[in-house]
Amino acid sequence: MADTSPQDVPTVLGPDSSFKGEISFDKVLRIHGRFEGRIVSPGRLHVAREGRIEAEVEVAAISIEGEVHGRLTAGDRLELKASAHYEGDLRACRMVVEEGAVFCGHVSVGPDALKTPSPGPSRGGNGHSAATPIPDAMTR
Amino acid sequence: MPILDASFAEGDDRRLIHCLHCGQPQSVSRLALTVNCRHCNKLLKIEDVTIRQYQARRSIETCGMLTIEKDGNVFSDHIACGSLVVRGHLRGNVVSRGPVFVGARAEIRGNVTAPTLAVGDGAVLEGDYRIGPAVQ
Repeated sequence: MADTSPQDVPTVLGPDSSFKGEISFDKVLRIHGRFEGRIVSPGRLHVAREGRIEAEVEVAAISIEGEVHGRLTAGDRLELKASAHYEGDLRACRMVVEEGAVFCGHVSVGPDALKTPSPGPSRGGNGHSAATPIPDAMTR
Repeated sequence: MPILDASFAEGDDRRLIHCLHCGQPQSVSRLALTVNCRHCNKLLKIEDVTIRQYQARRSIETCGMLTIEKDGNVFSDHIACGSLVVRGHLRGNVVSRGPVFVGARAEIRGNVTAPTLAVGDGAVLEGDYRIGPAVQ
């Protein structure tokens, strides 16, 4: 069996764990259990298929296979896998969505997405804002 | 014996569409460009639409596939389609009965409702999204 240094092992919340509060980490956090609260980190967050989180998240990269509610901000990349369920408002520089992912909420993705101000408290995907403004020429 | 077997005629020559107005499914000929819905009798455009240049339109409605190519730049109040492929730029609200594919470097600004969404790396999205099989 290959040796692995402690730095290579990600932080893991196991499937039988439940965490409420604020957590920070440096490299990788894998959530297999339940999490409620706030996650702030320069690292990468992975929500496994059996993971359930309700949180405000600000990390560099997020990969979602499980169920997530809350406001997400990914400095670099956000991935929604086919089994992902997401409700909330998200901002990310880049996003990849696999076919089959279910999500609902306001999406702001692009290189300038993080420069725009954050859209207030998360609406959990239940409320929808007004439609994107259409140029005047279209409404005549 | 009849020359044209009825079961053969129901095979590859036909495709299933959903009415944009009442949502009811129905089988139509692949060669048809427009039909009247059997349930609500509204006129349905079912041909595929490809846009390769700037277009500003009040609405775009088709039960077929709407494709916005790389050089396409579409402004529309309302887009209703069978499925959507965006490789260029789109500004407007979209309701798609089928999958929405957003290519890398493509851009959608507006609200999107669709059963499935696939987004390529580098795409720009801005709006409210309702994605999932139950949202239609």
